[in-house]
Amino acid sequence: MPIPAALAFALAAAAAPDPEPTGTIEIPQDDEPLPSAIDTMSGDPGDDVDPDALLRLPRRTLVRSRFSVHPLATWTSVLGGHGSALWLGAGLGHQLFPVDEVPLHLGLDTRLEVTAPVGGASGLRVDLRSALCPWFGRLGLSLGPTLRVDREIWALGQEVPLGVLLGAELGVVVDAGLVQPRLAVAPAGIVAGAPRDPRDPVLPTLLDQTTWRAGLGFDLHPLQVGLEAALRESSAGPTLEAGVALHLLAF
Amino acid sequence: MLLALAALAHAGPPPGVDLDDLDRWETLAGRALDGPAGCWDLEGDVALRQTGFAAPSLFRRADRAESTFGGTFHGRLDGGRWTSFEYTLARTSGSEDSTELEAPLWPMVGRIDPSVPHRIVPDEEAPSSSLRVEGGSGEGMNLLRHTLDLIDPATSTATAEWRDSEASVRVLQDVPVDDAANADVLAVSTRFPGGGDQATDVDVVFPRRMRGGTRLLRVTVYDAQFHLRAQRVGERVLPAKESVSLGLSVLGFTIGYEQALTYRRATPCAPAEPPGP
Repeated sequence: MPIPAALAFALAAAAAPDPEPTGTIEIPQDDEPLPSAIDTMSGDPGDDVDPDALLRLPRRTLVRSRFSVHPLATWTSVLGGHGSALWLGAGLGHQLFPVDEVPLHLGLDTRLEVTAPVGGASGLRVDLRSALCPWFGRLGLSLGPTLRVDREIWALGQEVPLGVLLGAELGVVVDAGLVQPRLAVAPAGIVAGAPRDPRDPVLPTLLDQTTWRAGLGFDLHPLQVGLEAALRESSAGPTLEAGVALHLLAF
Repeated sequence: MLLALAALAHAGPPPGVDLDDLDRWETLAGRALDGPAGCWDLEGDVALRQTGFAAPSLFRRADRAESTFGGTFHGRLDGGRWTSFEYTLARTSGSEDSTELEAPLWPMVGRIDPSVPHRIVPDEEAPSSSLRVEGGSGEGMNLLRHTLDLIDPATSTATAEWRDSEASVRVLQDVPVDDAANADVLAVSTRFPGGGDQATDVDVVFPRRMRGGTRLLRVTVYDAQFHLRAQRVGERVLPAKESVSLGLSVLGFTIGYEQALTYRRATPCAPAEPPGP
């Protein structure tokens, strides 16, 4: 069967070696995007990406685990002129959080904090709290159990006897850009130690001791500054605590 | 007729392509990073992407901040070794407040001495944003191959298979990152169109997590990966684009980094001038 002339020409052209390039060659490009760790860390290899090696390894949203140690300093005052003191200590924190945008951004924040007064009072506070922190856009919630062991003896006679309190904290925060206001309430009940009745409470109380918190976060790159005030309704009377938290913003 | 069409649809490898000759395929896959033979002046575009993954606090959700940088490069690849590599880089998106990593940019194709890459910066920026790594062997190294050599696995597996869908041979290599029985593997996939000797696609994906560093300074690398695409131009295969990217966690901070080169033009090196009379 005779080979058509056009086919014969095409075969001959394909078989002939290309001449050696002498000038500048424009390298052709295809439109396929290359995969990136930045995308695959967040479980998104991309719609158009199909490299064989990538598909043979499991992809999922990366959840980071992070420990932190931070100093603590709170100014505490028992309202009504019953004494005030600076409480110093340290906190150990652990966070679990996904690294990327997901519809329901969920984090877990656990903190162990130990503080003791410097002048004006004696005693000790040990707080352990863990909170699940879902974010719905700019609205964030925090909900989780709290465990507190404390004893406070104020110079002017007020006393909080040694006790163990188990409770919960519910908080809400709004990320409004440069400023982030936060409110929280943390009721707790005595599980060991002498019974406590909040004395002369200013705000509504739940169970044996209730702490109301209000705070403001500020983004002052490279620092995030958190100012928080807490009103604890305890058997020593309403106790106001004020503290500052600093976080380094790397990005 | 239908039988003929069916045979074409499942053509299989061309005659002479021996998929069982794994030594040959592994050798060819190893050459895929060498770059084109001969001496070439290459130029193209540079793109960097840096992402910081910020941890949450009581006031802020976990967040990410991304900066991108763009520029151009030109260099000479002579016999698989870069003898020059210069590039420009300028921020194209992202906050000016965010940190710019000062990692020097290295091509992943060919061998390069650490002292060769040189960032060209405007004079007014030179003191703060120019970084040049001094030293090196002079012969240069391929960063990816060097990394694979460091892993130095006792065992690795390889297969070669023909794929009708891409009319290519794919060489798949799994390399354990340590000697443990259940060690994570890094996966290497190399594509040889038509079963020829020259690869056009190389994909290397490291395990999801690789931990290193010292007890005091732990470093975790996430999803490290390298990708190369080359194009056939005449008898030659020239690099078209490459990217290397990874996530890095150290001291509680997590960042993502991606470097991409797009090779736009290749020019054979001009022959040396003959010595004058």
